[in-house]
Amino acid sequence: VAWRNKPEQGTESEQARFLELCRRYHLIESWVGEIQDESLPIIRRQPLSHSFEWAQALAERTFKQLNLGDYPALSLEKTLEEEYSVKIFHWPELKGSAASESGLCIWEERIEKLADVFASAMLLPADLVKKEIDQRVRAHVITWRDLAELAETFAVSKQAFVWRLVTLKYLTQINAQKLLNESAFLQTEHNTGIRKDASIFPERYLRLLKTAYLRGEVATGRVAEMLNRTLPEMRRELIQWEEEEAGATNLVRLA
Amino acid sequence: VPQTLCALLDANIIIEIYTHKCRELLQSRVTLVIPSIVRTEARLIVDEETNTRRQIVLDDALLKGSIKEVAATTGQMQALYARFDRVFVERMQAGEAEALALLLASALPDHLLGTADGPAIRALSMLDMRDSGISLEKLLNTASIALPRPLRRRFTEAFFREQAERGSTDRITGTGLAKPASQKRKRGKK
Repeated sequence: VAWRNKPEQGTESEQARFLELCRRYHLIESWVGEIQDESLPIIRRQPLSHSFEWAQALAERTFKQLNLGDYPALSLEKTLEEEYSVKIFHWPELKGSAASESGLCIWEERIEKLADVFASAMLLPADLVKKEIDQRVRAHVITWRDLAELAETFAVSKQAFVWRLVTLKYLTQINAQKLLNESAFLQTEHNTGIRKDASIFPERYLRLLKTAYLRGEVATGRVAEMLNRTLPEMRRELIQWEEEEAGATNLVRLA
Repeated sequence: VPQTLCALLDANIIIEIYTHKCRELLQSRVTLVIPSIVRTEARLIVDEETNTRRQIVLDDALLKGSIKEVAATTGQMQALYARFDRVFVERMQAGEAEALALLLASALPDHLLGTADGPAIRALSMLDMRDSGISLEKLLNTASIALPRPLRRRFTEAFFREQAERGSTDRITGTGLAKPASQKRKRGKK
């Protein structure tokens, strides 16, 4: 497991837990035949040797390849999960950390910066951001409210949005920093990047597990195990799943 | 009802029997047997009327001998797992795998596996032991027990037959079954 920021304690147990969840997720995929052949593009050369322009160009190519639509941050996670079988877990207790099971990545300062440029260019595509900004600019000025709304629309943090405006030459670095030092500007922050639900199980993991159960592809006790629960604890929820399924095959006559 | 019917039950069925409060009546008419792993899988139920947890008193029933416990050996378990591919093995719960292992080893002649899980029912057909399984609906009918509420679909005879049919198809196509050693060798050479 390649860590971005290793937790101070319990790395080994967290790693084991992470790998076990990946294994379970893969099993569930195979039970319902939902394994995708598509794989993400692999960068063969050491990223350290690349420039920021290269990272930006790579982001633009990736954005097109993944077909992420007008607001990439809103569809990125779903696309990675559905189209490429990437397994994404959100663990609130590992705030700020990130770990990856596959791919050799060494987290260094230079790579962090390249990754920031890549993320910014992919989640805030130049053409789309320019179009939105130009619609709101009046006599070379734009309101804080507009900037906050746009950050929210693109589902990125205000900081990320402001720095993208710097790379797109709408703002100077000095003005960007001044703006980000304004606490009143940051107060209306909505996109913290932290999910509201505390479940560690991704939505797709739960959906595929439910499908596997309803199709009779997996034992009931295994469903409970996959969710770290006991069979009796799961009973009521399973009945609910079955009741939802009971109506799912009803037909609707169309005009 | 003939006392000769011996039902080997998985955790699901145990929980359902306790939830429907028909265990005592059933055990008076059928010999109930549980694999040793099921004893740990079915420890409690959630009472739907009061929303409280209730202990399943399997231990008492086992002590009194009204329910019998059986255990498979490691060799019997290995013999069962060797018949299926890895993905299929992972579909099954340990308790029902233990029951299947005992049936496969002919350690429990004339016992029927009562299960409501698709993989276990399919496994019976894949092992050519389709007649060694029984749905809870059929088990209750055989024991002339009528419940005030209908059973959930996966405890019905219809679900059992559907899954058994799938298992029969899998047996022919080889889906979920372990590849014969000769095929594995060929693949290795490629």
